[in-house]
Amino acid sequence: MGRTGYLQHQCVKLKKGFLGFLRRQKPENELFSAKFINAIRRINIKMDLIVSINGPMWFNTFDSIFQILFAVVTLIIAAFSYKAYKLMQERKYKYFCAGFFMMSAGFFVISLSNLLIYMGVYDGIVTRLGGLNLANLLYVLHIFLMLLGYMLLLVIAMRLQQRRLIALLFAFIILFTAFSYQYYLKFHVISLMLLAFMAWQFYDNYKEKKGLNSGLVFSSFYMLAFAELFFLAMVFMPLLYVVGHAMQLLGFGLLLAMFMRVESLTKEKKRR
Amino acid sequence: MAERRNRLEIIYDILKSIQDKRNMMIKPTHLLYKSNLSHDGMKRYIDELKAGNMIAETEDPKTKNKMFTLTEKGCKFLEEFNKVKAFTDSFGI
Repeated sequence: MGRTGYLQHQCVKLKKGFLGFLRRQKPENELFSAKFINAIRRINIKMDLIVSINGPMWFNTFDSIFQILFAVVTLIIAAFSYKAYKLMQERKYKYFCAGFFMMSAGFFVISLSNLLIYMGVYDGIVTRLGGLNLANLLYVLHIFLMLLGYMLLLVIAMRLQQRRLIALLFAFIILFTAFSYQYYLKFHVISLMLLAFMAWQFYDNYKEKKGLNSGLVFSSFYMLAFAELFFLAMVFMPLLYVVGHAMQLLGFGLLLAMFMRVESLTKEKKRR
Repeated sequence: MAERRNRLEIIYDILKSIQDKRNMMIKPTHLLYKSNLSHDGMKRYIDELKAGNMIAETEDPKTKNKMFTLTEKGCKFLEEFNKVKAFTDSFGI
């Protein structure tokens, strides 16, 4: 049974126990109200935690490690983009840097969120914070950062100039983050759309430049978009969550390969 | 018609022209042709690059002609520019 299935099973047990408890109680029992409220709170807390973690139990911690790796790769790309901005002094490189930095921050946040659950820290935190659920808060923050990052990259890659159009796109992201209920599904559907359009744009660049580096970038974003499909299909089969992460690892690996080729470019010229 | 070059691209073209020459030394006339600038324009850039210590004026030991050569800083600039160009071309930005 996957992690989501395990927690759902726990909730079903809790609900059955609660119903059994209700049947045994008499309405005039003075402790009834207090126990009822506590039982509801426990169910709510358990239900909320389901939103934050996915996939099979054995993949615990591995997804956090993968996410840290993705965060490091995107941070490296962001740092180089900043270097490009310092040299060229063009704003688009600054926004490009910001896009990758947002993605890096998003990956760090979700990795932290998952690690806190796996290490069992969350139970204590949820109790201390009362109604505030830190797990969901970090998950929503992750969604917001990732979508913002994708948007920035898309705006730069597609060379969007109209400020109103850019403002509209950002407004959609903020509205989605603030007023959604099926976070997981909608996040991955929107990510799939954004990454697919980016992959399309980078494919056009590859057709024009016909270089290995542009090919690596196109392939990377193609893999990242494909990974989103597996994350969506995870609902039917938890193992696909692992496949999605593997595709993301491949995607970011290709991006890192492109970066290393760029870095080694000058060393090759020197040797000649 | 080709896009108009920005300032940085012009500097890159000048430095690259010098780097591509034997011993990284070039005559002013050759540099004028390679950089595709007017005489006044080239003079402005040369003065800027000399002030920035990216190029240096020297003499050909055989012909005693005035030559321009690339400094260490100029070489480093070319390196960095090439990397950034390759990176941005990969994304098409």
